[in-house]
Amino acid sequence: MIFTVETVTLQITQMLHEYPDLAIVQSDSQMVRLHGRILVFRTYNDFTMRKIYILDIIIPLGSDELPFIIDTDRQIKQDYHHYYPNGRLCLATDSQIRIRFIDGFNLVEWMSEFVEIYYFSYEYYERFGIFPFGERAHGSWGIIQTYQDFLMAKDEVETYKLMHFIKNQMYRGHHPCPCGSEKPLRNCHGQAMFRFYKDTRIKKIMMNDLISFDKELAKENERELYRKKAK
Amino acid sequence: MSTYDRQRDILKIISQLDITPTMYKNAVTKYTSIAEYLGNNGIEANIYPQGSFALGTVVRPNAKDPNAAYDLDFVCQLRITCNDLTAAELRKKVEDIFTSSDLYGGKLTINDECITIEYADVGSIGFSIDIVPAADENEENKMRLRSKSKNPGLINTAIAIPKHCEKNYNWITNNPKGYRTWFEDINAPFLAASRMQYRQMLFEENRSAYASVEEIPEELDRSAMQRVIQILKYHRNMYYSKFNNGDDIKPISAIINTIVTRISSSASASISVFDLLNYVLNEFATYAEYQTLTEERFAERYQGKNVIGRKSGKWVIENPANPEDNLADQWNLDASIPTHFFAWSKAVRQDLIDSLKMSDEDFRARAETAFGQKAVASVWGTKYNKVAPKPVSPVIPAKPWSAQ
Repeated sequence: MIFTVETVTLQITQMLHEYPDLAIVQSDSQMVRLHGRILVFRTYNDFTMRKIYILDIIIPLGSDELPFIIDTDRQIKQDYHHYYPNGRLCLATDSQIRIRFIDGFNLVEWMSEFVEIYYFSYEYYERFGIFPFGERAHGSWGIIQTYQDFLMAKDEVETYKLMHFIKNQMYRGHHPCPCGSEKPLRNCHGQAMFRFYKDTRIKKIMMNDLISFDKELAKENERELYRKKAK
Repeated sequence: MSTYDRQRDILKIISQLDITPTMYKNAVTKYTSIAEYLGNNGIEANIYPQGSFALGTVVRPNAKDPNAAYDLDFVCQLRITCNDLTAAELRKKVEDIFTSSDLYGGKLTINDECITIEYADVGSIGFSIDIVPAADENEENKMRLRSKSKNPGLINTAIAIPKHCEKNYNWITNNPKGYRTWFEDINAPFLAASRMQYRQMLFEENRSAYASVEEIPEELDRSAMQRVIQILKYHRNMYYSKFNNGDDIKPISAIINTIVTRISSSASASISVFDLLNYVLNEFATYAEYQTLTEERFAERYQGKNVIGRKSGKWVIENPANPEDNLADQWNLDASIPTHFFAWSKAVRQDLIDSLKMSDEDFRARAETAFGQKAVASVWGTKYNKVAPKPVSPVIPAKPWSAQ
């Protein structure tokens, strides 16, 4: 459970302090809904953006569902490919957000690191036609790419190998790294992999993603086999 | 803050990016001594500037590094025609003179296209001189060029330069002197309109380099047209620095110089820098329609507009001093180049025209995006916004994703 009625109150107070043009418009046992304007004033690589966005922030209560954003005024172009038709923003993969806030969700930091950065990436993309920090493939591949960043792997295939290693093998620093570099784990991907061994909560999130990915892969293989037979 | 104040503040940034009077003096001394050295060694040659140094449109080249060196381009034209020797022979002759000379403290590098002398100089900012060897173009080629040219009077100064081509050198035609004449003719009334005011300001700011206003070389005067070119060139450097292949896809300076000059030729000489910029950007927006309109439809809708052309789908920007040189050649090899060009010109409008009417804070944000945070802060301090934007620097930044 991410938020209860009790735990959300203090964080919402902080949110309203940080974003004074937001207000609570709905609050019950299921969720808190904030509505209003936020100023996004950020800079990266000599691109400075300063713009006001009107949005709804939905914070589910008593649930494991992550908070999310609705682009109330439809300021994001409808054909932008990281945008659901109902106006919900595709901020980042759930796993990335869950791992980031493994020690407790912080709404203000989530706003700064995910929501504002979503708008920043959008404006950068509108101007230059490229993403400042890249983007994720849709669906499962995007989830694997999330771990690619965490594990500092060179591509999705290497990531997949490292994830399976974490799932099935003990950590031994002197063992060869599963990426195939022939270096000992501790001098290769070991450092990036270690957090998954150290923190069982993070490992669990990764294992669940890997299990769903493997299921999807198996289904895809079956379909492929069927197509070949049909030919 | 009024629109006028904002315009003046943007111009302050641009003049910071221009070559300083001290550096100008220094560069002239350097290239004059190179010419002298050649003369003393029995080489009859004429060394003259081309490109931005000749046109008065220099901007600091590297958008990411405010201390980057200026590149100044020169032609070393021997008093011979291209019939007197081969391109490879000329190339070798000039190379030999330079390798055996004392370069007055400069560091020599020989490239395929030119000879580069780097000077670490004047304060912390250095400059490098690129020298292209050349011979006079032969009469036969000049005749042909004259018959094709809209400006046949310019062809007389055409030169032949060695072009590296699979381990050998071939002659290609160029005409930097003709280009400069064409440019200066159109620039002259703009220059006259802004001259006295500008010279006085430059003098006040550079009392240590020159004793009186009259001493400031005319080459350092800047007209509205030259300022527009400098603004566009620097904005381009900033914009395209975001792309990994930015240097391959950005509009070359020769294109910016040519289209701005041609468009300006139909503007009033007393126009202000920003009115001219606005006018030029409006024209760019019109030419952007070539992306969707056919040649015939465009001609119907915009009679007489031919600064940028599209003949049978092929982009054409003619070099006014060389009718056989299509400056848009690369646009026809990589379709993303014109697409980016028109997207970039929209960004210029947002940053430098639309922003003049925005809030102080938004104006400052736009200027920082246009010219870089460092360049803006060094000239403006905290003017327009005392609050700085929050940098984005997470370890793994959020990357947009969706489930389907």
